[in-house]
Amino acid sequence: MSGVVWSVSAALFLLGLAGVALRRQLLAMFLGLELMVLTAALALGCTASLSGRGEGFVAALLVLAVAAAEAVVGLVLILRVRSSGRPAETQSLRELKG
Amino acid sequence: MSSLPPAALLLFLAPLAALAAAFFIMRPWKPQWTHVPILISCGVVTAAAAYLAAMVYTGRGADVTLYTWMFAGKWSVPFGVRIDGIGVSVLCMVALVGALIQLYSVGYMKGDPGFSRFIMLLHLFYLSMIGLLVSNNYVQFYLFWELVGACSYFLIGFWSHKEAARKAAMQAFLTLRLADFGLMLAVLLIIVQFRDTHFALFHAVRFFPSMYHPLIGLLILWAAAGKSALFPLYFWLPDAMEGPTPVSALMHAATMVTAGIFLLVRSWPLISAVPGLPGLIAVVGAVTAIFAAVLAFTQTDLKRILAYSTVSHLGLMAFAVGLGQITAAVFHLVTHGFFKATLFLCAGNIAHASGKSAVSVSEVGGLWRRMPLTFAAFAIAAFSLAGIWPCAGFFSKDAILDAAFERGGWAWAAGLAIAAASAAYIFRMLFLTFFGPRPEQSPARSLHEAPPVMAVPVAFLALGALAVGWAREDLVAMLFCGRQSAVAAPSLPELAPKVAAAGLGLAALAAGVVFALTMGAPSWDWHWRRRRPGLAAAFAGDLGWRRVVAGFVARTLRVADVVGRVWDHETWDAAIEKTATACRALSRGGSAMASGGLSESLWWLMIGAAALLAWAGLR
Amino acid sequence: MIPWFAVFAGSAAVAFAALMITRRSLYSAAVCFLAVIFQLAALFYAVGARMLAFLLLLIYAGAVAVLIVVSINAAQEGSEERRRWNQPAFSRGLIAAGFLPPLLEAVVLLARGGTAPAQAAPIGDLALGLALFGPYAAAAEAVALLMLFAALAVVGKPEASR
Repeated sequence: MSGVVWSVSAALFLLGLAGVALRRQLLAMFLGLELMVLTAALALGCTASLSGRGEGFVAALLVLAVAAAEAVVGLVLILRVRSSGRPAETQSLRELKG
Repeated sequence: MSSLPPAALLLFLAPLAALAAAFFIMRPWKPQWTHVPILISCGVVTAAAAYLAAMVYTGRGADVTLYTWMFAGKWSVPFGVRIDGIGVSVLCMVALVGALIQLYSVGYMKGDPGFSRFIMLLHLFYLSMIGLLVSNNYVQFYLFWELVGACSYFLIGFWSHKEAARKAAMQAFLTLRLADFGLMLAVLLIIVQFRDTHFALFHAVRFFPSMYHPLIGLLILWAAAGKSALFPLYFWLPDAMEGPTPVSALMHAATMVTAGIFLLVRSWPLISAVPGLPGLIAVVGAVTAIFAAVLAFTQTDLKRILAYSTVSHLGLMAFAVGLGQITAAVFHLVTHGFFKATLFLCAGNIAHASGKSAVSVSEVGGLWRRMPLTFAAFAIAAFSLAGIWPCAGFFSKDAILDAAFERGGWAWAAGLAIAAASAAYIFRMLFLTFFGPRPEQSPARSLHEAPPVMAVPVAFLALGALAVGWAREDLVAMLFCGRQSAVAAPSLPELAPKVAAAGLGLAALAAGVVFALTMGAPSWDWHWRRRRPGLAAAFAGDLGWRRVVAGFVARTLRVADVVGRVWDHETWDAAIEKTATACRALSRGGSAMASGGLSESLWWLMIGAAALLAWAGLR
Repeated sequence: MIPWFAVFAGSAAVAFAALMITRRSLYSAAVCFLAVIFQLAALFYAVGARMLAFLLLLIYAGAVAVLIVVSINAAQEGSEERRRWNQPAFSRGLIAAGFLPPLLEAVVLLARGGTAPAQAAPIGDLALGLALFGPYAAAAEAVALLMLFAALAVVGKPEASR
């Protein structure tokens, strides 16, 4: 059981990472990001459940809550970029250029 | 260790006080009176030298270390005074001749804008030479040796508005640097090997050759060859004639070129222990003497003739040293100082009278009527130089010829050749300058006898050139008084009638032949020069040796250019510039990395995280 | 013994995630994301974390998915090409595929009376609640505060339009 959980977690995490790294649209990247956070929560929760300890559940729950808050903030940021007249893509965010 | 005689201190204190007074009081106040303290100091030094000579003559030498300059472990650099026969005999000559020359230069340089500077430099020169003569160790000797070289540089280039003078000064300085480097290496090797630089060590202990020993001897010979204008390095001396005549007189007679011979004599215990080195010195001396005598015979400038004659005589002294006759060498050094100073000052009289710094034989002639005193002095000195009895040169030269005769073979032949050649060139000069005038010569009408301040020193020096040789026995006795050497210097041989007759006969023969050549109906001296311009040019170029030297210098310069400019440019500068370029490229790359793009930042983030994970995993 | 239920849910999640990052249309990606969330909830259920599964569905399938769709609508691009990307191109096949596995799983669960096959022993919800408001109370409060601030971000003053 735990082997299944770990392999699914690894595969999903890598897919999320690929989405973040390869996609250009901010929203698509955001989806990848959410997927990565959820994968972390999955690994935590499942391991806690399989080992029979309640603390891991708590951690997974907190991760889920933080991810929800982050989702709100991230979506708002994307909307802000869009409302400032720029396309919601990575190329339009260049203010950090050194 | 006997205590230091106060007179030895006076040798340093008087010139230093005089220089200080001249510089701080006389020069700002009355520059034309700068010579007053300096002449007083000359008198004091001469008197002190005479006192020291008397002291040594009565068998009381001294070798005192005044204080230790610096020390490291067993090794130290002391500053001391050594009063012994060799040093004092030369010291007496240097003090007296130098003092007379300085008196003369007061008259010669009167009215020159740089008078006070000149007289002070002259005195510093004098002081350095005296310090060199009474040094008691090699490091102190080297210090004064360099001071002498520096003073000669300032004085040769004294008329710095003349390009030739500047060039000659530079040439002399660089040549001397080359030689002084040899002495420096020699001193360093002596320190490495013996841990002591006192002359006393070498005079007191008979030691055996070791690894560095031949090298030290060769380096000392090299240094002496530079300072004393021996064969490979002699060329700076004739060019040094660009300075004022008293400088030439001082350099040639007393303070400069004799230092090299003096070094050889001082280092004799060291040199004589190296097999073959004395023979090499003899060969170098003989070659120099004959070569320079031939060149002196072909020169036309009065001072250049005398310069080559000095080179020739220095060669003769080195010849004597090489034959083991250091006594004869020192004796000749002393007599040479007197007659050469006389000759130079006579040439200076002529130059002063004609208002030029360089006088050619074609511009003078028949001077004996107009300048009788100069003529008399010159004639005595010339007789002395040619080795005619009873002048001083006869005795010293005869001693050297005796040594050559005893050696036999090539040495005897070389000695006779030197005797004949030196008589030939000096009589040629005497005839051309004072006899005649010949139709080829055009002496100015205005030539006149020198003023008393210049005539008196010349007269005294001529007296010395005549009479110093009579004190032969006393001088030789003095050489062996004072501090004794373990290596016994051979005493002067008795006058051998056969040798004296051979020398005198050859000199007389040469004089007669030269009279015929110069004063005969078609003057041969001008004849060959006109007929064979190529030959004249070859003699003017020292038979090609100057070209060899110039080629060597040019090649050295090229190497220096490659090392100093090209190589430096290609390596160090390039390294520095490449560093800057690399930094710029690095910063460009770095700033390109900070593109501000979200994806790029993310990629770096991922690479970093992967690296951290890999590191953690590998641990 | 192979936990077939978990293997099925995991494979479906991976497949939908792969679809999600390769679909050009953002709407399709959002649908795939929703399908992945269902499968993750099924996995949670399978390992006995029922509470987490319910919370996941509540928060993500309920709230965040809606937010995402609203954002996609609001961030409509001007250019033709981008508009094509952002078309609500709901492929029916995709939607059917997205909802098929949850249906199958629901059927299996109902048939077995609420327990997944080879299910791990469930953790009591009471224990979770006690832990959350016992030793982890400070962390829970902090996260609650964070969510409040996140909500404030929505009502912030918009940047001046360029």
